[in-house]
Parts: sequence; structure tokens; C-alpha cells
Amino acid sequence: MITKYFTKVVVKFNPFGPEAKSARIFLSQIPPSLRGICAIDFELLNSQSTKKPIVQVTFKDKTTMEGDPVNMNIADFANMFDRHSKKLAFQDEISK
Amino acid sequence: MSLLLPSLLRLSVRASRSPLSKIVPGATSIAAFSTYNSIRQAQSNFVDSVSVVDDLLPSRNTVKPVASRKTYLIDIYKYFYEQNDIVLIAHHNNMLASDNEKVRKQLQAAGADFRKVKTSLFKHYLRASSHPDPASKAANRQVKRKRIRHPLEPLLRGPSSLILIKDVDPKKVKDVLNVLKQQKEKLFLVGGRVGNDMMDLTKINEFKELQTLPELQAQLAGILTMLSGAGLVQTLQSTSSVLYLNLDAHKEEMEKPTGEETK
Repeated sequence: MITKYFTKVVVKFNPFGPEAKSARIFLSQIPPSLRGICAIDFELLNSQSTKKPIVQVTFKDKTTMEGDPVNMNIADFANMFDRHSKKLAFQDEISK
Repeated sequence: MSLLLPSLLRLSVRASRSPLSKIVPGATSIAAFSTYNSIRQAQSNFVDSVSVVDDLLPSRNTVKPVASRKTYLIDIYKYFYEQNDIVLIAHHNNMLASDNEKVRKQLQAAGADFRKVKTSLFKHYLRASSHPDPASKAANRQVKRKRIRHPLEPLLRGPSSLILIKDVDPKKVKDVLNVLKQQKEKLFLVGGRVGNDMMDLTKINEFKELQTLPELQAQLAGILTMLSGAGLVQTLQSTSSVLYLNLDAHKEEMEKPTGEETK
């Protein structure tokens, strides 16, 4: 997964739920080198909370993409976010 | 020993026909022969040492070899899980070596131990924890046959670590949570076991506000002495006395008709 162009990440999940796997692996894919650049906003839900589990990413050009970790696995997320990251990488190459 | 001699002789014959003689021209040369001898010596030493280790270890029928890493890890997880009253499971995210050391020191100061786990092995241990030897083949069969699942299993999907506290002390849990608060997304709690209860985060947050066990026991003792215990004794006795009276009435009723029949 290309994480270079992320500026904000929002992750909400219930650790006992089926969404925990993809949400937790997604969190672990963000490298420590991104610590100052990318703000990570995570929230742990419980079985009573009404909020929906979510994984949301804001890119450098302020587009946001989001997905539901219940139905998507980490490969799906990587594909989805890489699609936009590759566009940004292409623009970077042109503007050089 | 005399039984072993023929097999050793056979070994030496096989050694002389070894591929080494093809590789090294003039295999009879002393140098090649001595290297081969030294290799064989080392091999036999290794076999001896393994057999010595096997003799020292208690005989166990484990899924992986007794002296292997996986058996060791399952044994040590058993030790950690059983020796500690509070076992909290945390998610850790790409912690740098410096972060690791800092967290370890801070948690130690708070009275807790920190250990990262191999989730697949810890999950296997949890499933087999009711068996006296969780690394054994018997435990594995039991888990498969009964399809045993553990309530803490869902917490092991991703990089996980254990925070171990020896005794049930809410104050220590509070200190641990304060340490984790500073780490934010790098290290956060997802759940755990307190005593015999499996807890999620809300329950752990409630638990940390409680008083310690000796304090609660002192309060209970105080209440009992204040009320002089008379009401409590009556309440505890009431069930048994009611049962006695009921049975007595029943006995009398049973005796009546039999008396009529004999008349």
C-alpha cells in the first residue's frame, strides 16, 4: 500500500467485531516515518455504540476516500487507496 | 554397546564410499580423510548432545519437537497467563526500538510486564488452555474435536502484545492506562482478562475506578460488624429451615395414608 500521500487517517472499529482484522492491519501498515506528516485519528467502539466502523483517508490534494472494514479486507483497501496514490505519483513525475 | 558396533562399522563403510571421494581427487589423501573424520565426529557429538537433552526433558508427546521454539513459546504463554491475575491485550503499531524501551520501563514502574506475542501461537494456547499440557498432541486433538474457541481470540487479529499484572489491583491498571495514553495510536488497549472475567474496554475503564480488594474486604467486614450479623445469619438460615419444615410436613403426610391402609 502506498502511504506516501496520506495526510489524515480516521479509523473506527470494535476490537471484538469482524471489522477488527482489516482495521488493525491497516493501522499497522502506516510506517513510523509518516508520524509527523499523517495525523492518525482512531476510535475504539464497543457493542453498544451506534457509530459505524470506518476507515477513511485524506490525501495530499484533499480528496477523501472511505471504506467499510466489515466487508473489505486489507487487499481491497490497498487497491482502493493505491488507485488515487498512483495518480498523485504520476502528477508528481510530470511536474518535476 | 556391542549391538551398536555393527551399525557403526556399516556407517564407516558408507563413509568411505561417500561423494567426498568423487569431489576430492585422491580421496585417500590424509587431509580429506581428516576433514571427513572431524565432520563425522561433530555429527556424532551433536547426536549425543540431542539425546542428552531429550533425556533431561520430561517425556512429552508434543505437536512440535520438545526443544523447539513453538513448544517453548506455548509453555511460556501458559506460565504468563496462569501466573498473572490481570492479562491485558494491546495493539502495537510499528514501535521504534526507543519507544519499546521507554514503554517497557514505564510499565515496569507501574507494576506491569510488557510482552509482544506471536498471535497464532497465543491463540492456540488460549484454545488449549483447559488442557494440562497445551503444547501436546492430545490438547490439539481435543481442540479440533470439540471445536473450542476462546472469548479473547478476536483480540488477536493484528499485532498484539500482553500487559501482565500479578495481582488484582485497579490502581495498577489505572497507571498502565495512563502510560498507554501518551503512546496514542502506537500502543492502545483492546481488551483483556481480569481475574476470571473477559473484559472489553468499557469494563476495564469501570474496573480501574474500583478500590483495591483488601479495601473492599475491610468495608464488608465493617458492615458485618456494624449490623452484628444477626440479620445475615437469619437470612442465610431461612432457606435450610424452610426446607426442613417442608420435608417434615411431607413426611407426616406420607405417614398418614400408610397408617390408614394397615388399619
